[in-house]
Parts: sequence; C-alpha cells; structure tokens
Amino acid sequence: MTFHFRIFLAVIFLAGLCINAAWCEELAALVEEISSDVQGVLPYDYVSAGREIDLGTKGRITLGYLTACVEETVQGGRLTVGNKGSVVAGGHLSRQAVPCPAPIRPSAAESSQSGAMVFRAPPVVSINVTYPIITVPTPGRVVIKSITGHEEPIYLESDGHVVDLANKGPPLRLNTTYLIEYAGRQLVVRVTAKATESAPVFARLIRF
Amino acid sequence: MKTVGWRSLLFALAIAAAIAGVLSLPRVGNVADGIGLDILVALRYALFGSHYRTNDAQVVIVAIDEESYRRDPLADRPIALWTPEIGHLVDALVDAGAAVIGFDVVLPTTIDRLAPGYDREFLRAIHRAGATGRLVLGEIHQQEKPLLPYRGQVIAAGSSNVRPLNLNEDLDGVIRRVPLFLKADPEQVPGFALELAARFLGTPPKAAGGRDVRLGDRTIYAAAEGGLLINFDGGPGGIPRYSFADIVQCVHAGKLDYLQKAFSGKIVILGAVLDVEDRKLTTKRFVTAPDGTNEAPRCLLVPLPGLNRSDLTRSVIPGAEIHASAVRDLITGRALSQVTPLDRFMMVLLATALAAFAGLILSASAAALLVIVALTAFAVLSVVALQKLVVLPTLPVAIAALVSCGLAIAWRSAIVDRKRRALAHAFRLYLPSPAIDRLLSAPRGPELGGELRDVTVLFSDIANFTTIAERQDAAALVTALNLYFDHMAEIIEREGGFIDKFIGDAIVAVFGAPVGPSDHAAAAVRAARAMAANTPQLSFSTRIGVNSGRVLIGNIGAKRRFNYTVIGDTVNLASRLEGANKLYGTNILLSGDTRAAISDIVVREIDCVRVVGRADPVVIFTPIDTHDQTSEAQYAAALNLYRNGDFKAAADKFTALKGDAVAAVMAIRASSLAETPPASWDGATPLSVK
Repeated sequence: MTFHFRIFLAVIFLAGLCINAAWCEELAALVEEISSDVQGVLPYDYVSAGREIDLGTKGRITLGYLTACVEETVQGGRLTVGNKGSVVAGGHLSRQAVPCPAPIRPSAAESSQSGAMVFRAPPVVSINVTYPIITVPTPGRVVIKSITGHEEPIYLESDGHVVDLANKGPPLRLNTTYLIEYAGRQLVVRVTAKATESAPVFARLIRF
Repeated sequence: MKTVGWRSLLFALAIAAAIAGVLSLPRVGNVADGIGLDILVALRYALFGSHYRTNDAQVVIVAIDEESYRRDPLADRPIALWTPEIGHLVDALVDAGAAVIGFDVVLPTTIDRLAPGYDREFLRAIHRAGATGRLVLGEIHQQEKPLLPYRGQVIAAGSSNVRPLNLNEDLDGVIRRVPLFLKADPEQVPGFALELAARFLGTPPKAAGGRDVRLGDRTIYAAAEGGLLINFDGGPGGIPRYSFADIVQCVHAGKLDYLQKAFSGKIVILGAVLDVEDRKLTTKRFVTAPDGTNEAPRCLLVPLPGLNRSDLTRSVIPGAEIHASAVRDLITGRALSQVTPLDRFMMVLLATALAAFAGLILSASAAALLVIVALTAFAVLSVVALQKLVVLPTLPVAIAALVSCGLAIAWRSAIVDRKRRALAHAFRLYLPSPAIDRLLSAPRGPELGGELRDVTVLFSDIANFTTIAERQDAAALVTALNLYFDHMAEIIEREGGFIDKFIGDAIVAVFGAPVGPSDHAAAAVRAARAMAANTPQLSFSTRIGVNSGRVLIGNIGAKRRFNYTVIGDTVNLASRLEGANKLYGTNILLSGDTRAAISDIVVREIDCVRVVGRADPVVIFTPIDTHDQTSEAQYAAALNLYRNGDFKAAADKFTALKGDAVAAVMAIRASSLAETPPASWDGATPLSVK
C-alpha cells in the first residue's frame, strides 16, 4: 500500500466520520418560550448554531444558551442562532445574563463519593442511508428498535461480521431514531430526513 | 489490691495522655468514632428495633430498579432514553401534590441532537415543577469537571434548582454524613438533602455559626468533620420504595387516587435502586434488610417474582436511601449530634486513666473484668444516648480503656511485679505458696501471730536412717537425701500440703493451711500412701504418722526472727504415730481423728495406744490396699479379745492370720501379756517410744 493510497483512505475515513458523526451539528440553545405563530419550532426544542428562525412581525422567542449564561428574547424579525448569541435582522433583541452554575469546590472528603447514578446517552451516529451495513466482531443477533417504541423491533442474525440491511431487512424509516443492540452493547442511530436507499459503502457502515 | 508507687502513677498519667491524644488525632478519631457509631446503631436496633414505619413516611423513593429494566416499555433501553417517561412521572407527581421532587440521577447528555424534540416533554415537565420550587435536580462535583445535568435541563428547571449529590466519605470508606453546605463561589450552596428539606419546610437554610445550620426554628448541628451525621434506622428503615416501572404504568393509566395517596405532601426522590450500581457502605451496614422489604403497595403491576432474595442481607444500601435518610432526619429534627471535641477528649482521658489505675492496683483478671463491666455499662449508656440523638465516643473510650489497662498490667508485670516475683520465687523455698501470696498482697509486712485452725499434720521419717548414714559416704548420702526430699515435697505439694520444716531426715507437712483442700485429711493420707510407695525406689523406707486436729498456725517466734509454722498436740501425736510404726511393722499410722475425717480410703484398725506424754488413749489405723473381709473380720475379732483382756484367745486368733505382719506383732504381744498379765488393763497399749 503506497503512502498516497493511505492518505486517500484516511481522507475517506474522516469524511465518513463527518457524515456519520453527530458532532457536526452541535446544539446551541434551548427554546424556553415561543409564540404560537412561529412555525417549525416548539417550546423546549433545542436549536443548533446556524439555525434561522423567522419570527414574522409579531413572533416572539426566548432562548437560553447552552454554553453561555445568557438568555435572549427576540421580538419579530429573522434570527440566526449562534453559539453564544443570536444575530437578528429586522427585529428587537434583548439579552440578559442569567446565573451561571456556581463553581463548587467541595473538600476532599466530600468529593470521593456521591450517592447517585449518572446515565449517559449511548453512542450516537446519524446516517444518510436507509439500508445501513452493520459490522459486528463476531456472529450474533442484532436488534433494531425505534426509540419511540411505536414500531416492531427488527431482529437480524449475522452469520459473519456484516449485516447488510439491503439483503436481510426492511429499510429504516426516514427521520427516525433507532436503538441498535448487539451483545449487550447499544448504539443510537438517527436516520436523517435526507437519507437515501443507496450510498457509498463507507457511508453505510455502522460499527460495533 | 496493690499499692501504687509514684513511678506507676506517672506511667498511668503518661499513657492516659498519650492514648487520649492519639485517639483525638483527626484521622484516628474519625475511623474510631465511625466504627463505634456503626456498632451502636446495630446495638440500638437489636434493643429497640426500627424507629420509623413506612406507612407514615414523609420521604419516599421512586426506584429505578431491576424490575424497571425488565418491564416494557423500558426494558433494555438505556435510562438516558427514558426521559419521556420521567417527564410523565414528574408531571404526575406535581399533579398528585408532591411537596418536592429530587433527582438522585443525573442525565448529562441528550439525544435531541439526533432526535429533535425527544426531550421536549421532559424539559417542559421539569420546567413546570422547577418554576414552583418543587424540583431539585442533582449534580456531582468530584473531579475538576463536574457531572451536571445537560445544560438544557438546568435552563428548563432553573439554575437554582440544582444541588450537589456529594456525600461525605469517612477514612474507612463508609458513608455516615452528607454535606450540609458545600463551598462555592461566591457563597456556599446547600447540599441535595438540605435543599429538599428546606423546600419541604418552606424555609431557606442559613449558616448558624461554624458548620452548623439554621433551618427554620431548628439548629442542625454539624459533625466534627462537617456534614450531617445521619441517624440511620436499622432494618427496613421506613423509607418506602415505589418501583418506577409500576408508577409509570400507573401514570399512563391515570390512577390519580393512588398517586395522590402515595405522594401527596411528600418528598419524592427519584433514584436508582439496583443490584450493583450506586450501593454504599454506611453506618447501617450491620443492620440492613433484604432488598424489597421496603416495597410500597403496588398501583398496577404485580412484582416480578424471583427478583430479590429474602435470605440475602447486604451491607451496602442504595445512594438514594442515604439521601432520603438525611432528608428525613432534617425534617423530623432527628439528626445525630456528637459531643464536643473537648468533652470527647476528656471522656477518653478519664477512661484511660481509670483503666490504667485498675490495671495497676488490681490483679490482671480483676482489672480486666472491671474494665469489661464498665465498658458494657458505657455501651448501654451510649445506646440510650443515641436514642436521645447524642453520639458518645464509645469505641474510642473502649479502645482507650482496654489498651491502657493492658499497658498498665504489662508495666506492672515487667517493672513492679518483677521484684515481687523474685521475692516469691526465693521464699517459695521456705514458705508455702499461699502464705507467700498472702504476704505479698498484704498492705503491711508480716507480723507475729497466728490462728487456730483444723488441719492434718503428716510426720515422716526414714526408717533406720542412722544405720544407713553410718554405712554411706556423706556426699552420696546428701545426694540421696536431696533426691528423696524432692520426691516427697513434690508429692506433698501435689496434694495441696506444704512442708513446715525438715528435721534431719524427717518431714513435717501440713494439709489445710494457710489455705488448702477442705478434705485435708484425705489429701494427707493420699500423700502418705504415695510417699510410702515411692520410697523403695529411693533406697529408703519411710514411716509416716498422720493426725488431724486443731493447731496454732502462723508467724511464731521472736519479733526479729520468726517462722511460719504449726504447733500443738496434733503435731506431737503425728510424730508419736510415726514412731509407733516401728512397733507394729507398718509404714503409715493414722489417728482416730484422721480416720473419722476420711471415707473413701480403706483402713484397718490396728490397736488402741497410749503414747508418751498423752494420757488419753488413741485408736490407730493403717490404710490397706486390699480388703479381704474374712481376714479383716478375724483381725477385728482378735483385737476385740485383746482389748477385753482375753490375751490367750486373742493370741491364737492373731496367730491364725498367716502372713499378716501386723497380726504377727499383735500375736507376740498378746502371748506375752497372756504369760504376764498387766496389773490393770483398759485395752490401750502403752507405748514407750517417741
């Protein structure tokens, strides 16, 4: 394998990651309040940086920023969500600081234990294809469930290291989030609204 | 009781100060106090049982339990994806009138990035609860980066509705306290339990000086190391658990009556109660109950069978129960308080000093017994104090007392008693052991004086010693004599007697004094028989006289020099009986008084004699090995004839006892008397030998 070919594979891999990975689209703010005449956004939705929201002439929105202790209220106009604040065109923006989490400095004796559980979301990926290829280390059962629980689970048996839904299963639904389980491990997979039936192999891969 | 010298006093004070000082060191004290509290909680539960009942609990747990993981629709789904159901739960709890809802779980992530709107209802629900001050989310501050709820949850619930779930861990890894306030910038923040209690009571917590906290009209006293000392209840513990799985189904089914009855006006903690995760060792570790014993009545679901073992009691409990116990203590005013550090030091110091003095002035066993009794009483007092919510330093006091008592005993043994032991060892060659012990334990030195006491005196002598001495080399004779006396002394002491004195080749031994066996007559006879049986091996033949009676025993002599000895007619008669063996061909002769005091030794009545210096006749006996009833009856009949003065008939009967040495002697004497009858005869043979 030549050096240039290795570089090519690395670029392809990184491109695949960028297509698959969720962190291409970071959440920026929480919609705390929104008037009912604004379309496409509901209270307690998260919005990402770069998202544009048209408030019309009377629309009103209050955003709480995730990485800044800032709360914004925008009246009318069109706003573009940023990472720490919005840009508003044709409307009125009022911004106020909100309390940041207090930096707590417990003593050593207070720091070693906490009587609580932390539940993190499992690894998440987004895919732009409805027939993904799932790779597994050893043969076994793969279960695909909608996280809303409204659809029947899909059970697939892998006889090798690869389960190709194009050969073995029904297509995944657009704009739907699935929990994929294999050998006690879990992945959350989001099928985007723009997903297609076919794509290059590297863009279809879901790896356990 | 022993006297204590100034060196011992100094030693006692020094070890008292040293031990009290060591046990007051923060690290040592923390562990000792902690373990002591764990033991007290177990003792209290054993004596008084559980204090709380589940049916009137003001704090309850909605438990994310093993069953929740196994039930649809949550089965096999990561809890981070349970947010829609948790949102429904929060809404339902608010509708049911829960006073405060506390999250003992932290969800630091969201999948909204990939599933837009997935957390929407959850965030709306926590906003609704947070806006009315009825929600406290948990956060964890351990490393540099804290574990916080996802920022969107903090925005929705309100940043003032997030409190740290940190616990205080003692040096032995056990949880006994929760922080009241935690240091923060710009001002300290209440811990999770304090915040829940304050919300419930409707009064904000305030610092009350030092680490103490004012909560309404109540002062919460902080433990010495800070934090609230939790008053864990033994057994089930009185905090009901509702399975998350059942409550979720209940919410979906709209069972508002059940929800109101279960949660109205109560503090509800949502926490994990799982087999493995988030279980801690606490003060309650010795008195936990099997999982599932706190389960509240169900709303809809029948519990999954076989989840919990009724025979398995684990030492660890869920973290949610720790927080719930702390909250309960705060709202009921039943948190524990410790004595002040100064009081604690003084208690330990006092215990150490008293135990050390006990070790110095009492015998080791008496001191140990006294310390154990005192510590038992202190443990009972500590349990009673615990019932009154005061924690006494039980284990430090116990450690201090035992260690100082042990050290004092060791000190006395090594330093003070060394001289006594040397003295006792030296004097044991001259005096009986009990007399030495009495002498050493007496507050004053020995004085002249004695007591009248009933004893048995054994007098032994070597037969024909003068002849033996003339034939043997002096050095060999001394060696043989020493060997002989060693054996005799060993036998006498084994039977509980002591050797009063050696007189040439004779031994005077006393049984029953200064302390001794109550069956001193039997002990003396056993010793006499053993001595007589052993002497052939030593090339000597021993003659022994044994007599029982009252003697004067004690320190007898002049003021400047006296002996511990016995005097009296009892001693003289024993000596006379020893000598009489020569006339009867016996080794052992017992007086009638000795015979009367023994029951299980077979003897033969030999004769009735009148010894030199004594007017009253004495019946004499000798122990026999085998009891031939015919021969003994014949001897007794012959003796009866002899006493009645029918010497001729008596001689015939004695002669008829062939092979009987004593009978042969008596036959010769009877024949002689038959030939020359005495002028007067009262049946007693006069003895001329001493």
